Amino acid sequence: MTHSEELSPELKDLFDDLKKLPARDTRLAARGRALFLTEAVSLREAVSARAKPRLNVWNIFTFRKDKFAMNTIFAVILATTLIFGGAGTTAYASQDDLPNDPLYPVKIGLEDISLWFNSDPLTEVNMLMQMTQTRAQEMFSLSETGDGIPASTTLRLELQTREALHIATTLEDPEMEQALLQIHNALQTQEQLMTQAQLHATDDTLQLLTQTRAMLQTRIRLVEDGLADPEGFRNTVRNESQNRQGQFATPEPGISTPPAIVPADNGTGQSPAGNGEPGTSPTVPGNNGQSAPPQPIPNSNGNFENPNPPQDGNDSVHPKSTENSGPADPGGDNGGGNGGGNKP
Amino acid sequence: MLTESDLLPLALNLDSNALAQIYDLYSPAIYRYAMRLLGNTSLAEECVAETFSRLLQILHAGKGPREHLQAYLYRVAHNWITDQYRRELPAEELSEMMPAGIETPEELSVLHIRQAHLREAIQQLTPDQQQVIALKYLEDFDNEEIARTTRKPIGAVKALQHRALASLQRLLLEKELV
Repeated sequence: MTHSEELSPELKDLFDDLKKLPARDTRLAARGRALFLTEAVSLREAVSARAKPRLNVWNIFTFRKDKFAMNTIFAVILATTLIFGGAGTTAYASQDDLPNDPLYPVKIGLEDISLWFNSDPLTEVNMLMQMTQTRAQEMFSLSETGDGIPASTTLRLELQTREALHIATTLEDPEMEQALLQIHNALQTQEQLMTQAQLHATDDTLQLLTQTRAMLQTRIRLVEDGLADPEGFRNTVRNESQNRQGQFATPEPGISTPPAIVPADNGTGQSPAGNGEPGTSPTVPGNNGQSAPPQPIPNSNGNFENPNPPQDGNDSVHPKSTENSGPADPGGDNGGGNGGGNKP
Repeated sequence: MLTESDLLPLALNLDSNALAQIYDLYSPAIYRYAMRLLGNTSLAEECVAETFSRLLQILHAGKGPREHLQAYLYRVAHNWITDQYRRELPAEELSEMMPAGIETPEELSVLHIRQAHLREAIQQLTPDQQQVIALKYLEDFDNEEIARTTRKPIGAVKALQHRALASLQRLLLEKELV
């Protein structure tokens, strides 16, 4: 006996009505899928961390994919020490420095060098996202101490994220999904960090933290969409890159360092309040009415853009970036990454 | 596409590809199940998230189903839905999106009212009756599948079904829907 014979016609109609549902929101579905897979990655990495072998000096040269960034940096430090003696000590000492510390440029330089030693795209994505995590942590630490957050720190976070996304587009779908999950995990952590930092932020830094958080949320949505639609994601990232090439006339191989957002001497402590338009230079109270140096301001996509790209070309994540190598070829690799994958 | 018996051993190792396939295979059905019983997209999405998160946790602990994954997922989902029934549910969402077969706003309004009445009636059944009725008449499970999901003998499933239908008839008669 089929179950439909057990139901009265009226009851059967009611159950048939209850089966009628509108289509599921694909965006919410993709977000749920991304969160599930991100949680799985986190749990798996927690298992891997527990299985880590005992650390000894020789392990520095045993490169494990998930620790490649720190292993490489320490290897560079060790090599620097052996060759240049005290310089290696300096390099090691710089690792915990914040953007307003004197050895911070050494720390950044080591990051750039470590990227040169890597040839695997997935590892590079991992390294870049670890670096963005470091940037977010630096911003959090500075906001906790009430110090100004240099806009260059935010800019670097954005550029490193952008580079990671760009590398992801060069991968085949399975590897790209893996990369996007790594990026999604990192971006969510950073967004939470910005939220916490906002709680203790001074007026000077609150706007920058808010803008950074908005940028991270935009990127999270982009990654979630990418997990649902890989080809759409590739097109979106390529279009963004093309738009940036059209916006800036000169290449951006280096990173500029705009002055930090710091309180004025008279204690007014006003941070430059950008109006969201690229190229604006608001006056900073306490600077005798002079215009503030140009600050990275988020554009409509939530990306931080340097409103006045330097002519000497020093505005990329690391020296080997070829992101602006020319118009994108829809059928080929867009460059910028290490050529880890071929387009289908 | 791997089968459930291929995927489960990989899922025990938290293999991303296997977990992704499992999610793609079962999450649509779990969403529909939750949506039919709760009538709220946010809750339905939350039900899916909680169900699969619990699956991850139990796999991470080295436990979890070695077979009949679908039954396990429906069981977890239904337990979560039952918990929601015990709380004050948020208002049902009256989506303007037309399900298949509905063409006018008037038909959509009538559909929403009828759906709400049946959901209210189902919520007044016991948890076991709710589950049997939902799996039988909304998910079109056969009695063997229902027995596997509820971990009850087939005889008990049939008895629950009979009592649940009688209760539903009475409740809906009061609303003059049957």
